[in-house]
Amino acid sequence: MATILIVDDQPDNLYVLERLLRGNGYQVLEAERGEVALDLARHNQPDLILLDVMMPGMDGFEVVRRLREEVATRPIPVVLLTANAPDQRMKIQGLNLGADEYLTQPINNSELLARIRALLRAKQAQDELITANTQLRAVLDVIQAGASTLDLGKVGQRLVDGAVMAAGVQAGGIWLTREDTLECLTEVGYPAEHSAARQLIECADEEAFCNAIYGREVLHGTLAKLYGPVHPYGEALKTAIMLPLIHRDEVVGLLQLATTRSRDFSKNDITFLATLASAAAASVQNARLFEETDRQRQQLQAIDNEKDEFISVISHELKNPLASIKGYAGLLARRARKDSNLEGAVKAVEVIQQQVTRMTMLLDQLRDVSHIGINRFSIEPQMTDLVRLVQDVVADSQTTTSEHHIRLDVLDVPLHAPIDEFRVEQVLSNLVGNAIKYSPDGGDVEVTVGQSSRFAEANDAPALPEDWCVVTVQDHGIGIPRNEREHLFERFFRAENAKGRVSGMGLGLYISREIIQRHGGVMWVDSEEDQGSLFGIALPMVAATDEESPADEIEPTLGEEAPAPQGGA
Amino acid sequence: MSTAPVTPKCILVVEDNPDNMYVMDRLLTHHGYAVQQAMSGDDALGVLATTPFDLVLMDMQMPGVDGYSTVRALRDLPGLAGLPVIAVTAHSMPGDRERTLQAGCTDYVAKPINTRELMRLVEYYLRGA
Repeated sequence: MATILIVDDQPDNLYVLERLLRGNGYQVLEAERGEVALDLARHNQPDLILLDVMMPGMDGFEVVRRLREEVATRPIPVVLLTANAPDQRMKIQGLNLGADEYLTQPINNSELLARIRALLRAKQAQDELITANTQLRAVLDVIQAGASTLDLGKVGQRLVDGAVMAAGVQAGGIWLTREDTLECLTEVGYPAEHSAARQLIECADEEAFCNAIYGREVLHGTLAKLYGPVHPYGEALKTAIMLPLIHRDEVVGLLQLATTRSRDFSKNDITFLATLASAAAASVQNARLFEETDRQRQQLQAIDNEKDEFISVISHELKNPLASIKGYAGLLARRARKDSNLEGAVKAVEVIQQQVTRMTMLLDQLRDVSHIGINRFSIEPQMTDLVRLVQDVVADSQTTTSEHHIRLDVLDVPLHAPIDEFRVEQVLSNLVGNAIKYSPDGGDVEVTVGQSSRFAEANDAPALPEDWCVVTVQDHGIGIPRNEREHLFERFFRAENAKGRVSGMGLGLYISREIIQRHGGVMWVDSEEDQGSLFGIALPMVAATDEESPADEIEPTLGEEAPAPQGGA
Repeated sequence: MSTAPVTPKCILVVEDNPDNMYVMDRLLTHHGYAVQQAMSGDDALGVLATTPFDLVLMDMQMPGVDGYSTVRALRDLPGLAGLPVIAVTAHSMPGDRERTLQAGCTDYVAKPINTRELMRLVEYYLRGA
């Protein structure tokens, strides 16, 4: 029932009004002075105030003014009562200060009751709107919390804060199910001294938890009724409500809210809190799944790193015996060449040497791949003449084959670029070596070097800044099937038409592209099955970290004589 | 403790039960008021048409014309719109009490009468009148 505060300095007036209101079912608070009235209004939140205008000390107008200044008392309807003759100016003043009614005595008691009822109806409608608005905001906040972050801790914090505010309670927490236990995700407002007992709860120990989690029931009542006489939620909290958090038919946890008041949660409260709990369940579960996935990803990453470490160590260890074999094979080869009796052995030792070289290269590739995986792969650029480097690689590669003819198309001008000479040589050797390997029937291999402007019209070449260095290697071998081209640069990938015909691990192009990309460059391929392949690399002429576009620097030196255009001054 | 008025205020008591009327008359006279008795609603309306009173005490449950009809009729008599009328009623539900106010009574007291309460109300409304 509604509570009405009566403020009047005359005890007789208080007596008659109190009798009338109590007789009609209202609870009544009384004050004979304005200061007392303000205090009662603040702490007891009456639903309506009947206020005498003429009082010694603080008068009714001043009380209204102060009531309207404070947030806590602003929404309380106020009826001003006066024994003075009706005075329109005073009436207007009272209403302007924030009173809702201004009644002149003698007041018809029947009318007074009717006006009180009308004001209480309006107040209740306003309260319901405010509550609905607060609840909507809370639900929105909960949904937003789930959408804005996947950090489980933060999601929990915002959910609990929102729920506590929206439900108008003093404490709240979320516990998550983990097998048959409940783990506290976040809590607020519970006494600190028993916090340990609230961190991990065995569902089976508490009937209430069993019913909420396994029975999916919303439970509410006094804490003693829910948890028995001994519980870790403190003496100050009186009533609690427990809502299972259900997402996609799975109970993911529990929302508990507790209040210091003896309060019955109404059907409306429960419906609203259940909506909130369902939004919260979705947010919590999303964050939880994300954390789980992230943990698994990190585990996989750790395992992958271990694998790369292992390969790195193994490839290093295997190279030691190879170095020894290579040394003795060289010794054997020199001796065999000197001794005509061992003529047959020369060929055999040369095969051993070739295979040792090949195996060394394979181990180097394995080491590079593992170092890329654990981020231990670095390049050290220095200004280097790319034209000379290509010439050297072409000359070396030509010595490995008599079936192929490598033609080099280059203007005899140095092209200096900031590159890691050893690594780029590795890329060039890989490309020219592949051109030879994948042209098993022999044929021409064409290598070109130059600035990107030379290649502007080449098919499939990516759009490049004008003054990058470009190297292309073209063969007329087996080519690459169209549908496999996009996977060509992946680790351990081998085209179908190469398997069984040409040996390899599928690492060379992967490492090559990694090297080119770490230079800030690009690598591409153009190929037709049975027609041959063209591989291209492009490298910037200035270090990739340089902010300035190289084009801007070169432009003024081009010295193009621009004829004055039509609009020229 | 009550002080008798210099010129006694006149109170009309409308009550069909002689025992109740006796008690009421004694109480009011003791406090220094001039009391006039009316045993029915019609009786009361007849007296009110000719004699001025300062206050009326009206039993609401009377045979024949009951208190509710009497008050409604009373308010239509010339000059009596503001006359304080205190209803005496056996009902104690809030709705019944308010019904007496809606009929035109100024206030009400419930039976059995609490004499302190009644005298305080009588004094209050006589001072305002």
